[in-house]
Amino acid sequence: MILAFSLLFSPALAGEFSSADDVLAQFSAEPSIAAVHQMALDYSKTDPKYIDTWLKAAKSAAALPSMTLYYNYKRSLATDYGYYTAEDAGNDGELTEEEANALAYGPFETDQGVDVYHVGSVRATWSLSDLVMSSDEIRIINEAQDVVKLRDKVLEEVTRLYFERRRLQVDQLLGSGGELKKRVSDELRLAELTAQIDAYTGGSFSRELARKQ
Amino acid sequence: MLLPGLLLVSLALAQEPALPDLAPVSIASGATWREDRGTSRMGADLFRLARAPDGGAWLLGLEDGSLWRSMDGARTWSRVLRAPSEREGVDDEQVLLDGEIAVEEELDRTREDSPAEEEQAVEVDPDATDEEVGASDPEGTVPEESAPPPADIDRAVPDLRHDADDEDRPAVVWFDPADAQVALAGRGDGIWRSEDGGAHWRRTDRAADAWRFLSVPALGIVVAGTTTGVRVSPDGGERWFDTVDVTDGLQVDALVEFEGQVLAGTRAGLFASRDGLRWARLPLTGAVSALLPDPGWVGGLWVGTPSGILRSDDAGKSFYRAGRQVLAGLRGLVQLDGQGHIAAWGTDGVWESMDGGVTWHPVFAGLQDPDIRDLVVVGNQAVAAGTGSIWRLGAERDAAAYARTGVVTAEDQALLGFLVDTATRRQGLDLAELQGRATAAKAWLPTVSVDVSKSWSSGRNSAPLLAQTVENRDDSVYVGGRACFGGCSTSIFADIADAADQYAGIIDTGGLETLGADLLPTALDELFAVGDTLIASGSEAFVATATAQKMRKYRQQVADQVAGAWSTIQRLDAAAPAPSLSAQVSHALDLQEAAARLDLYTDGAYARSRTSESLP
Repeated sequence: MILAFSLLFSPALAGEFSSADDVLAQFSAEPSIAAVHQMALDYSKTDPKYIDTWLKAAKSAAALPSMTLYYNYKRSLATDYGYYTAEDAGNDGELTEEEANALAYGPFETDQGVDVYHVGSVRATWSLSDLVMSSDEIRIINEAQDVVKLRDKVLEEVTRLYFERRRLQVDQLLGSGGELKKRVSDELRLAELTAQIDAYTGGSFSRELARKQ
Repeated sequence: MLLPGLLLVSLALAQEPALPDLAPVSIASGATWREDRGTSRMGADLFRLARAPDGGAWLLGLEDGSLWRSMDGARTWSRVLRAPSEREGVDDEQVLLDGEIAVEEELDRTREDSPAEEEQAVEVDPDATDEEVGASDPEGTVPEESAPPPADIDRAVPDLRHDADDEDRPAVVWFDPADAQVALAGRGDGIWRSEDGGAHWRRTDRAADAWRFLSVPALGIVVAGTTTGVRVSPDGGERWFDTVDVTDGLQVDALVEFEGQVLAGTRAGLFASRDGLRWARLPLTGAVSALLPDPGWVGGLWVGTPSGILRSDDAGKSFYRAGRQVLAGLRGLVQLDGQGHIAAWGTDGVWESMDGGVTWHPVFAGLQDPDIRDLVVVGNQAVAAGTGSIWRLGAERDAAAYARTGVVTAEDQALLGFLVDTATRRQGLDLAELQGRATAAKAWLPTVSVDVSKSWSSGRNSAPLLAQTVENRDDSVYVGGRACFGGCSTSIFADIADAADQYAGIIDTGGLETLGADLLPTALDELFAVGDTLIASGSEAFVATATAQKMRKYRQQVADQVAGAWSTIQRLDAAAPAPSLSAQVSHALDLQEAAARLDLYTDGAYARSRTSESLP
């Protein structure tokens, strides 16, 4: 990698360029700062589109009711039994006790029933206040704020690294080369800056560099 | 009683003198440097520039020692004295005589023609010889050596030839502040004097080459700081005397009159004298390149040194560093309008301080040659001598220059407002998202539940003794509504339709199938009607308030960042980069970085605004 940069940005004479645009045009094959910003946004998942999606979901969620489904099944069986006792058969003393005992019998079924119950219900609940502002929405706004801060911080750092790298490239391009130690130091710094940008872009920056070159 | 009192107050206010504008105006404000190319054919770098106190004549001393004069505000120039190296064997007396004749002729011709001043600014013919340049000058400022042919001059009196070692010395020019006709010039072959505003010159001292001149009316002397010490003239530069003192052998780079004494800044420190003859060393031993008394502070003095500007508040008894900035290659200091408003110049261009030298900012819009040899300030307009050109600050500006000066236009303001607004309306930063009223109103809105329930049952009941079996079927539909307010500690509900039962002897076939749709809204209206009497106990308002506070704080930071990046772009736009390629590239990268920072805070709105004709 270092060798590649060395070869690519070998010192040139300032006289070869007539303007700043000529110098900066040497780096036109590299991703623009806007492209690097997008890479960083994609990698950090801080793109505004994600927050848009969250906010829209929070709004539309309040329009949908919460549903409760209920079903109950009951089956009941009942059998009634009867007894004919000696007392019932005694007929108020007209029969002797033995005669009454002989007549008593039971138990015997008197009634048999089967009942089946089904209950089904649906409950739809709308929280009307959530249509105006839901706690979810507030949480998302709060979260969005943290995301925006993170995004600003990431992009600030990426911007700083990008232009520090570009200035170093320009120095290498226009400089006379200098001592070997300084050249090696510059190359290492360039590689370090590239790696730092890669860290913020998930390696997309280097991949894009390689693809365009 | 009240009315006369009011009248008196009104009268007093009306007679209140207008307060002077205490805030100095920057010389860089809305101004840019413009190059005058009238010096392009002089053949040597410029060195010193002087303006006559009446503003009529300008003198220019070149690196090769030649002297040039302008009568049109330093626009076109005529050579009035050749370089010492070109004067070998010149017969001064003959030159003076011929020169006077030529001047008279030219003056006669000028009186006849009397062209307007603007028309006098003619271009110097690049193919003309030096003598032709002078001869073609329509201002009547003819070089005194123009009459005799060069060959004759070179064969004239050889004893006037100065020490060859000094021939390449630059020329220093100076006007007597009290007499615009008297001018002095110092160069390698001695001190020269003019009594006609620089048109004619006569050497008055061959002993030294002067570097600075200073008139001291209180003492009736003119002091010359030379490369080898101080010399004094008691008669306005006619005769010169050396001072045998501690300044001997030292190059004097600065001379000022200060608190009843004369100060001389040398390469080896600062010296003071009360009579111009006897000098004493002040407690400053380093090199001094410039001196400037502070008219707004008794005993105040700025001293230019290689390590920065020093300041004395006690008439030179002690010095301290005025600011942290090191003005590399400082050559001079000059007072501008307003207290503490000063300018410095040198190899790094022109710098301005509006706080007494504590902080400095460069005045380089349009200046393509940072090596400023001398600076003359007239009012708030500066004229600088660069290495090859005269640079004029401010007087005239074209539209493009105006656009680069950084003056904030209404359109710029609108763009800044748009950018700040865009940056602070991004998701998570827009206070409107929190909808404070809605959050408060939320407490009055219920949570509404609608229940729809259907139940059905069937049964069979047999009675063997009766030989009878009864079956039944029971269907019911239930629709209910529930409104729950706030934390739902209070709620109200009602059944909208109740169940209906029907028994049948053998088979129950009934069920409620007549639920009318018109029942529902009526019942719901009744539910909502009680909503406004109930109080909610939700906690979102508190969370929203905390979120809003955090949001406001960050919004402020974002606004600062946007305004800062925008200002950076304005400043960079207003300032032309130094002429070197690396400086231009650096300037371009600075601009790109500031624009990228604006874009990151505005989700690219800045870039879009630059490509659209009008703001969104």
